[in-house]
Amino acid sequence: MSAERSGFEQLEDQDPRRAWTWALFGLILPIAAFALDAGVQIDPILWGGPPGLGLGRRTGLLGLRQLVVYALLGLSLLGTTSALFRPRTLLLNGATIALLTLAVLFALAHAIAYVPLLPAFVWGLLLLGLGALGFAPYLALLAWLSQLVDCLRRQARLSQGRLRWALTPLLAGPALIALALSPLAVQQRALERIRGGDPAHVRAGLAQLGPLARWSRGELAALYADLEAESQVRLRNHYLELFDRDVHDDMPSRLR
Amino acid sequence: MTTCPPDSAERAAGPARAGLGLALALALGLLAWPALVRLARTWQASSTWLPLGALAAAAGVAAWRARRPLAELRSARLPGGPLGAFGLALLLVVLGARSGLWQLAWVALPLLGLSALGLLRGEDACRRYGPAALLLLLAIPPPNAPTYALIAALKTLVASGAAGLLTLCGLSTQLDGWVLRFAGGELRLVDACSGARTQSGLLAVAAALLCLRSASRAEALATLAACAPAALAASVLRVTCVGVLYAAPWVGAAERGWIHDLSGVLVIAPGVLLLLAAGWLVRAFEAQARACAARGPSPLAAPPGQPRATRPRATSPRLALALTLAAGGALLVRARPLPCPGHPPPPLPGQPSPAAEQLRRDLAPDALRARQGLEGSSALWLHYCDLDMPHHAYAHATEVCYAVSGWTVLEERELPLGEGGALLRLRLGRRGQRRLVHLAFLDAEGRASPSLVGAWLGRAGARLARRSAAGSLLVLSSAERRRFDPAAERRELERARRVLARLAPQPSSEPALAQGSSSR
Repeated sequence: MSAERSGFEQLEDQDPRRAWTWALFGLILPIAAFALDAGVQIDPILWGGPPGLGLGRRTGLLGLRQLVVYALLGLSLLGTTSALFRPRTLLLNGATIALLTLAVLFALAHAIAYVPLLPAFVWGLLLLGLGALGFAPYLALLAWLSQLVDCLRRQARLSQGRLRWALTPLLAGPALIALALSPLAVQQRALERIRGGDPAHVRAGLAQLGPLARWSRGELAALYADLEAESQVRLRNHYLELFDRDVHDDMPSRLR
Repeated sequence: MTTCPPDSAERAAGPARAGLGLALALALGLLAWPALVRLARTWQASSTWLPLGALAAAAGVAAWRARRPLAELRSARLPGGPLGAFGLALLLVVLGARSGLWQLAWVALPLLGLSALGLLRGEDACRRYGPAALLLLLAIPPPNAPTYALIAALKTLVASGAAGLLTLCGLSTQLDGWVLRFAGGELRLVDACSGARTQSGLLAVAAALLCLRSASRAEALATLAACAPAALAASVLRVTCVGVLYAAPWVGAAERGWIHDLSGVLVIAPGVLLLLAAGWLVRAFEAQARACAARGPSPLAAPPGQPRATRPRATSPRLALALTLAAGGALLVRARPLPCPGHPPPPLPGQPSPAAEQLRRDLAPDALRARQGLEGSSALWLHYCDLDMPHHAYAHATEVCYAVSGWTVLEERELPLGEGGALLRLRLGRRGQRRLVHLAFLDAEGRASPSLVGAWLGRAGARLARRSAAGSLLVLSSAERRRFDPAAERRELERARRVLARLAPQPSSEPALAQGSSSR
């Protein structure tokens, strides 16, 4: 009778080189890249705006966008960690497939957004070596895709060939992303409404934001400069009420 | 009593069978000739590579399967046997040629050829060449009206998906109709961006793949079903990548050209990868199910398909019957379809529009009249004898023109007309401007249909029943202002109703088609 084996022992079962490649490109490299990016603010998906060096000038405030992107990153890393432990039950492996599908789509979005920066990353690689982190989305995409294929093969064995055990988690990944992005879509629509400029629009936009207003501080401050005088007064009052701060203090320096 | 040995009986039937076969081929040629000519003209007008690709793929697959041993090929049977399929195909060809709905005839042509082959050479020939005949279906141009309705829906999906992805990639994107505007550029989604062509290409690739290698029924279904979502995903990816690159500071006008062209070529790659992934997924799970079934009886495992035993049948009487049917069909087709009556050139309010010539060039109607009114209002009618004529290969619904010019459809509403039928009201917006459009498609009896697909279906039904061969008349009135109050909206609706009432055909007169009436 074979004893139950721990996750670490199961990790030892697989080709160690492959496991370490996955750990390096799917776990360590993304964490390093996001840690560096917190300072230089390059990632257009995380910080919004066209790609380029932000160096803290983008918003200065963590908002809904950053919350959503970090949450997606966390789920992706959870998926890759789970896949490293090779889950042996249908449900756990299915959940891992869902998380890895999300991770692949997340990395794909980054891979697209980073395309204009590739020449800069090549120069960075040649000059400082740090440019290697710019290739993190592409390497992570390969690692996560490879893990996803591995998990699907395992799911085929576990489910004895029942396809629904693969299709459901595969569809759950995009559904999770849509769920995570829905607050961002609401925020976007509300900010567009406020940008309309009319004082009535400002009120309606803030009402539409609802609880998301707490996470839209940077966006509201950046929007303030675009409004007409009457709408600015209204937004300034609402801002003071919401955050107990003057909007002028939070405005990006280039707009003051 | 003496009996002939089988080989001498076969020898005796040989020349008779060959003669019947030749006669059948001649009758079929005569029957299919008008449909083939029309098909060739449509291919020429559409100027796409897809028909040629499908023909080449079909020829390749046929040649490959002709050399394979029959036992290696999957068993397949024509519905109703060769004679039943022949009858059905014949009926469709005759109906299509007589009614002017040529798609019916075109779709039936491969089946007609295959069933005739089955009658001449037995069912094994159908098994061998069936996939190639299926591939030929990809070369059939679909009817314009429903195709463009589908393309419009696909473009809306691609535009929304790409706008969302571009916003996620940090480019604040505004979607006006089918125009994506972002800092550093704009992208106008034309029909090629809908993914419909990619979808057709993927379908051809998938069909060729499935014909050339043995795939289970589930794998084949998954691969074919994956074509549509794969093409859509690939198109969204392409538009997003192009948008991201257009916004990059190092990309100038020169680079934009090759980025656009290169992405158009590369768009097929992610689509093919997704197809292969769908096939791989099903294959992996099926292999596992088979392995489980091998270990013990399981309801999951389907028994392997056995080739059906076919009993020998007398061929010559069936050939003779097919020949009679084909000859009858050819005679029926020789009777020409109903001629399309012209539309009377009724007067329209306002002055002749300066845009008439451009409309004539862009929309290629059989007759056109455009008028410019006061306060930015205008009215026009366009008459098409046949929306599926080769030179109308790109006829599409009115909303498409507005969306591609950057107008967003804010509201789309059908308004009932008193005497039956309905007209469509479109409320459009573009950068602070508002446009109110009322449109309807009039049929020969004066009924108004609010959609192009509805008008096309009505016309197809009337032609099939040989009730009328009248074409489609689009009547459109529009007005553009900064804003519309309810009184102005009512006025516009009344104006549209008056135009429609004036254009409804009079029972007494039916003058000839008015070519070039817009210049008067």
